[in-house]
Amino acid sequence: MFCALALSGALSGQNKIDFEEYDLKNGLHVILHEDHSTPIVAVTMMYRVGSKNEEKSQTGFAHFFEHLTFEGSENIDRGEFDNYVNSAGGQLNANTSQDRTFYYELLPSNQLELGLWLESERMLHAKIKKIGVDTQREVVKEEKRQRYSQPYATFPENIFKRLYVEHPYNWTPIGSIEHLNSATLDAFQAFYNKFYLPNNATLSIAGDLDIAKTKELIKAYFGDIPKGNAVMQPDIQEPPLGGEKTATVFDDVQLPALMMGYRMPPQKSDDAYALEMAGTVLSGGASSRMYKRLVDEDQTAAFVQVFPFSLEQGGAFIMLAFANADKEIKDMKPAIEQEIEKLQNELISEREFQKIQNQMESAFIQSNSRMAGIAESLANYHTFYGDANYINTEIERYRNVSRKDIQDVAKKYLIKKNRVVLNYLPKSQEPESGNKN
Amino acid sequence: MKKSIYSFLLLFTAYSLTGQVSIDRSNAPEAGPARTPKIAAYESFELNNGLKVFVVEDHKLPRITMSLILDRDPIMEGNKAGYTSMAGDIIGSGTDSRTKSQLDEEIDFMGANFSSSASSIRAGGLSKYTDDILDIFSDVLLNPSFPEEEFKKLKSQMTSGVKANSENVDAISSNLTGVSIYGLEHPYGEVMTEATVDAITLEDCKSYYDAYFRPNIAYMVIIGDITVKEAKKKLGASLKKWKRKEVPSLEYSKTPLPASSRIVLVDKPSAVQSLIWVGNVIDLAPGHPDIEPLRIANKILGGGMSGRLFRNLREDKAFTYGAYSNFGIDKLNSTFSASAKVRNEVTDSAIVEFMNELKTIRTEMVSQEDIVNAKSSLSGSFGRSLESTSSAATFALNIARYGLPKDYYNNYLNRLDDVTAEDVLRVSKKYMTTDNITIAVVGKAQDIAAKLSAFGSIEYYDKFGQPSDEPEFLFTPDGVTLENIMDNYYEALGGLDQLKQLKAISQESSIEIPGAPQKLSVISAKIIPNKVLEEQTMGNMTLSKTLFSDGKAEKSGMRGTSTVEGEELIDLSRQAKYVVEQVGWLDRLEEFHFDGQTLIDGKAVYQVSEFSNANEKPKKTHYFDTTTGLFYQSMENQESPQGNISITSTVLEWQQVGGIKFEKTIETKAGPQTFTITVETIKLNDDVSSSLFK
Repeated sequence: MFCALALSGALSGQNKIDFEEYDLKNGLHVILHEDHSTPIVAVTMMYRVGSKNEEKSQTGFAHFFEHLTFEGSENIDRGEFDNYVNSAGGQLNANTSQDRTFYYELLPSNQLELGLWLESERMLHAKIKKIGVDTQREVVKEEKRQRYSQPYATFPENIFKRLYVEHPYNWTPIGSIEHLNSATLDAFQAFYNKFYLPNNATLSIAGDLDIAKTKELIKAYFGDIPKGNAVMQPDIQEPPLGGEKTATVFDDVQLPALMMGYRMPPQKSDDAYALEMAGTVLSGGASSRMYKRLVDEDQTAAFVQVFPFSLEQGGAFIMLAFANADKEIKDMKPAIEQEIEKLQNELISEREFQKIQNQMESAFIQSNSRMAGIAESLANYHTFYGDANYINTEIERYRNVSRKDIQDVAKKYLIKKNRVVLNYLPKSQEPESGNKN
Repeated sequence: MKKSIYSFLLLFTAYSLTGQVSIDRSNAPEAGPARTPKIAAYESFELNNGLKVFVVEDHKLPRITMSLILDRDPIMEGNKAGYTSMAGDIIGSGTDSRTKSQLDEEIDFMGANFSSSASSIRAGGLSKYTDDILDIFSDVLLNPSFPEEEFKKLKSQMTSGVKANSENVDAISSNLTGVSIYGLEHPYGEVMTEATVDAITLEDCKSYYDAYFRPNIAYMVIIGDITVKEAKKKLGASLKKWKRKEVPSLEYSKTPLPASSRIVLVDKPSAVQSLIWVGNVIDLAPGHPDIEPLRIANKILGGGMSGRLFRNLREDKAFTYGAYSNFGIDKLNSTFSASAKVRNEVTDSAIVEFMNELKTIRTEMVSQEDIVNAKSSLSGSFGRSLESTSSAATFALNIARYGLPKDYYNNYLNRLDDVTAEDVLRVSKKYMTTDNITIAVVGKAQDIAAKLSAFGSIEYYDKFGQPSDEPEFLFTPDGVTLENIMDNYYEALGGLDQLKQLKAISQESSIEIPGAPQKLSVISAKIIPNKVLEEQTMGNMTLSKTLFSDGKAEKSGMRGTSTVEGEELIDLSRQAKYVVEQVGWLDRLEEFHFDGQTLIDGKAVYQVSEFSNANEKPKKTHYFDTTTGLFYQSMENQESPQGNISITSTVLEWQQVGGIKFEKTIETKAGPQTFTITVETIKLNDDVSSSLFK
């Protein structure tokens, strides 16, 4: 413990991320981090809209919308969005999760204003036209085909649809192609008007910038964008899972795999932090419990991985175990159950506790090395933790987790009636195999 | 407090200097004055044993990485493909003084990372642990113990890896392109299989380590929170015992281009997308002046979202999620290629577009705008790459390995700037061949092969790059029609006339359901042309009973009685017409289509699809044995509480009653469940009791 505290002092001195943050009158939250080491700047915009803000009948909208906003605006012709960034020597992309949609332009720092212009155009008056909708719908279908052609790739969808029934975490961001097929242009326009608002977004910029000058530019590009109605986040109480749910999925795979998902508490909660530590005990590195047991000792698994998939309103604590050649799920499962029980029945050792703390520290200290990552983390901490300064202090949340806390969350969450169990099996084992259609 | 007043003043100054910012939304803003990115400084030195060391100091974060890289010629591994990787893994699996689990524990306890491969060892972590990390690093490098137990373990893990990759399209494509371009007799064309992994011995790994892990062919790269002086001292102490030894050098002839274009294909029957790769080897060595013009040509053609391939295949045609081109520079063999994953239907169209774009860039001068944008984009990405100090180390390493001028990377932007549109045209012609290109596709042959044959005679390979036969899939045999399939079927049953003369039938069957306590009994009976009965009982309990009589039907069961309507009613009225239902197909032959001949369970069958009126997809698919002429299997998809499941019924055995063949054993698979239906008794014509239909 003493060692960890000493380190904490060194840490704040050595790589503290300084930033400024404020709100524009229209509610747009701005975070600026200045760092002149390299002449680049990351301009990012985080909208607090993800698949959990979708209607049951409009799944996939948030992600689809991410594609649509690159189609252009009042002042940006179709297909030109990327050309501007590319010809300025920059790079852009975007991604959508259950909780948010994130856009970024990584630019030479003398092109900062271009990033502001593009993002303000996207927020102020993106152009939603039939040709864009038709094209991007096909592109998204290909994205889905590409993703699901990867072995085991359907597991998040298969876990979440069973783990959550009422809550929109029931579906994943890629959503339903049928919903996209049947959606009208008006429905997309309504989605834009509802969510793409300054008061529902965070503009986070990091890199080689001058704060005072950047503030002026931000005011000029974003100040006049009208504020919209407050965006309400879903408030859905999911009843307890009420029992283990099991399913078998036949996939194009050779190695059987066991995929389990336990319902998690919201990512901000103390319990979520304790679960993350529990995950590290189980699979953080080759000396971790599950890796050592299943891969090294029993040799029943080729690979194991535990990762808490934390989300704003819950999420899934996911355990994956891929069978070693000629092994089956039944060869791995008892050992996994035993390791979980051990976590519930006994405190982890002092040495193990120190180890996972060191692992957390190491990861935390090394996490903020790139401007794009820093801008995203700042926006993420502000949006979902209510405190951008978590970028410097989040490690305290991990330090506050005790050995007892880890045992307690294992008892509370890592229980059978709180989980979904998927057996991924090779298609060759599927009963109706051999048929062609 | 003082600080905040100061920043307030600064703010004020900024305001007064620039005044109110005014913007014009209708145009993209102008760029400000550019700052030139700087490549981080590095220092290098050599130890007495010949190890060359590069150090990039970077004190921004308290961390360090160290990488040892062997610069050796590629090795042919032959029927032991994979043994050098295995050697890389095994050296990290135990030393004379540490077991694997001790190594793992020590590394994890520092929150550090460590890996070893055929030609590298890498480690990293917080700089306060530099000495401990280096201690493990040098122990693994100098004293590997090659434990037998760990070797066995790694072998089975490697076999699992081979299995896992055999379903991964990217891995399959990589095998395919390697083999089809370089051939199996080249180090870049070798493919690891379960058999080659099995053939590897611990001795192979030891002798590889002994021959190649030598300081005289190695580079050590250290990046992070350390000074050059410290690095010298620490490495000198920990690696001085590493002994030099002459390392074998290996030579390979340059891979020639194929005489003409080729199309190679791996069949992946479950694929919903085809992975298309078009490309070839190119004669372009590291440091060659054509590299910058080619980089610009590649950028314009397919280097990202602004590339022509992306714009054409994704943004215009929506064939794919992404289409790109690429080139790789290597001492032995460089390559140029373009690729995309597209849906099955457009596989051939996508290849046509690839070829069109290649042709355009080979024949038409790129515009000034294209070239300016490409240069700007490339200098931007060069600038971004410098955010990580590891770029400086990579540059230093390349300069040393490839014998490039010391200022090669410092001059990169100037070389880029000098490229003209003429240069781009010249290198496109030279390196982006279209006449002797290889088109490598991984996809569903049944859907795409016919169309792909337009690009040439298809050469088939299996998932591991071995030449294979053309896969068996649907084809149309000469002279076979729907009519003669049906005729043969009726003949095989006992003759159409005999079938038509049957007046009534009743059958008792039993169904075995896995896990159910009792068998299910089914009575089914018909009186031609208007009565059908279907009754299911378990023990004494009637589960369901359907009675069709004179155009109306009722279903009764545990949930009460209901009237049967719609499709189900139509189906019953059809059943009522003939004892053997398929005889009725003759009345509505337009609803059937003969698709072709294919294989099921190794049996050659004719595939016949049945369509409902307006539906695009077939409602059911039927298969007839090509040798016996008998019905073999039918398949349909149905919505169920478990989602869409496919239901397959296969006739396993026939029985003869009254000179006519009837089904005796039928296996039905519905989703994950399998039922076996056995027809116990069959009564015909007058033997059928009419009281059944009460």
